[in-house]
Amino acid sequence: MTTQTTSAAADTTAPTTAPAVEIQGLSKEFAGHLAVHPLDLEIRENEFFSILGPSGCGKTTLMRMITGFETPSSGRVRLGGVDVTDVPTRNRDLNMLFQSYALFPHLTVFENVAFELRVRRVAKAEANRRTTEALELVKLGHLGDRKPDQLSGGQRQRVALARAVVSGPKVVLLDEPLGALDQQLRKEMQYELKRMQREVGITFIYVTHDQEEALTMSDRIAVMSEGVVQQVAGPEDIYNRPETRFVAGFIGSCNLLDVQAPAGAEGEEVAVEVPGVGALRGVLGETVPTPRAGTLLLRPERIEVRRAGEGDGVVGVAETLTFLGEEWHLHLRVGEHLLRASVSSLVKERDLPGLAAGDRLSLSWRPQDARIVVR
Amino acid sequence: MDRIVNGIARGVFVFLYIPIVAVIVYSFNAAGTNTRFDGLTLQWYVELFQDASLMQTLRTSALVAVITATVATIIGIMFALGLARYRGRGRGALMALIALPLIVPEIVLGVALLSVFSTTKVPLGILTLVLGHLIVSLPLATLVLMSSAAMLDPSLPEAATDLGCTPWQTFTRVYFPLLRPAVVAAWLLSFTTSFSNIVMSTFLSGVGSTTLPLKIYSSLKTGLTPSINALGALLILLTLVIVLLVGVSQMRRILVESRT
Repeated sequence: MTTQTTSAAADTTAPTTAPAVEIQGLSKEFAGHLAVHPLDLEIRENEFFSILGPSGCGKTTLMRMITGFETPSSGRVRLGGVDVTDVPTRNRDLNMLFQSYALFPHLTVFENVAFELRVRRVAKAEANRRTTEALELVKLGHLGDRKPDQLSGGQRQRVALARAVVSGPKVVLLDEPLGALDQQLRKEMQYELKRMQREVGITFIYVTHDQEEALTMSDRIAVMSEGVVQQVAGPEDIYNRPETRFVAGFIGSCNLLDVQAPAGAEGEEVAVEVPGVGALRGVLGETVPTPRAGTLLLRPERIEVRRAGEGDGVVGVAETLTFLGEEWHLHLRVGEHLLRASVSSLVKERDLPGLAAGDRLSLSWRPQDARIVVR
Repeated sequence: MDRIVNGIARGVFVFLYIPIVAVIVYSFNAAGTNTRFDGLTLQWYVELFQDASLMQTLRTSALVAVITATVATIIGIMFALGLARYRGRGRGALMALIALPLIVPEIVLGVALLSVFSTTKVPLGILTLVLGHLIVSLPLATLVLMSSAAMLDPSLPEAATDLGCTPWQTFTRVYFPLLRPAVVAAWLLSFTTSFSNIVMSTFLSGVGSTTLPLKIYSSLKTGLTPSINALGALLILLTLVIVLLVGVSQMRRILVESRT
């Protein structure tokens, strides 16, 4: 029963392949500095799309070019197939949820949500009905008469969201909307945002520096660094198959080893020489036409740790052991490198009883878990 | 120690309010001089309203003050909104330029303006008075409005634009309602600055455009009539009414907001 309802709803509000936003060669230059390098991006209808990157990576500038608050130095922005590059913000069929929420302090919650409908001269009865609906969606129907300063942070956030979706825009852009909330509330709102996005069936473009938020909520993620989109992919691919050293290092925790990448096709199994460690097995993360400097990427939880002598593999010495509840984090000295490995508490108790600093351990992994990239 | 402070505080209040009380009391004094008190009369109020030349100066002053306050507030709003958003080069210099007339002695400004108007052959009158008073009240209006505009979340106008507002709608629906208390304060401040101004008016008023303060000041030579006391009492009453009106509306807003 439940499954049926979900799939029925998914028919109309699930991501499609039709593009909601198309970006071509878009760039922004500030006083001789390229904040956003020319980039192409396609965001699909009903998609929960995240733009993820550290502060100063250009994600906010990119978002502001989509909304029209910034004029691009080059390139085009298309919204639902229509070129809006020269269309002013107020005539673009998109809304923004601001980091500060930007609720109008002189208006009540209801007036805030109804604001756009009134500005756009929607008939009063219709406007009231839609405003009530939007407030119901964010479960604030009972607080319509309050002023924003009488609300909690979480409630303001919901009002801002209701205000952004009330007119049924094609796209809603969210600028680090959970930044001001405490940890507990963030978790709740992550789930809520995702639920509401599915319910209203609007494309969400979510700008954040929080990789966990991006991973848990997104259909697809664009990782940005220094004005360049590093990779666009689903959360699993971003995490398991990072295409650049930056993506691997920024998302989760990853061992990054400098290696000489041999020529070969993407997915080809190769062995690379790591000074002081020896030959390590891995696969090429991309096609390498000629040998060049690259990085071997290895997630800590993909390393299998056993007592030395129990299997073949690289031998390392445990330097520190840190208990985190569900798992242990180990720092292992291998030659001149320090590798991080994580072992679940169950595995440690079962297979590595009495493990202590200074113990010699054997480290191994499947070749496909060690990816070699050259960017 | 506390008793000393208390005593000084009382003394200061007495010093501040005695002249005001004295003006009101003497405006009803039948004696016709400020040295005796001979009982109550309304004679001076009657004489005041019959004094055509005094009433003419009152009209001039009120007209000049209303125009000055309105223009200063409008320009002040533009300055404040512009400077609240503008973060580029020259911002500091512009701010200093706006505040400069507050520092330059008024008499210097008066002389300078007079020579400007005489070389450009602008006849002295209401126009020159308004221009002169603008110079001294504009910085005040701008500063009051700017401190208010600077506290607005810069995302608010962007949110308004995002929600479909034209720049003018952003002003009427967002900026103006949020700045309203500052707008009222700036207007009243400019009004009083202009209404009570003597120095600029001395240089800039022409024949037939004498302002009330100038008239009162010049009547010092011929001797102050008790009608001036009556006028003073009426002005105090007017001020009190304005303060109460503004104060009451502010109070009501605070009460309404704290109700829910």
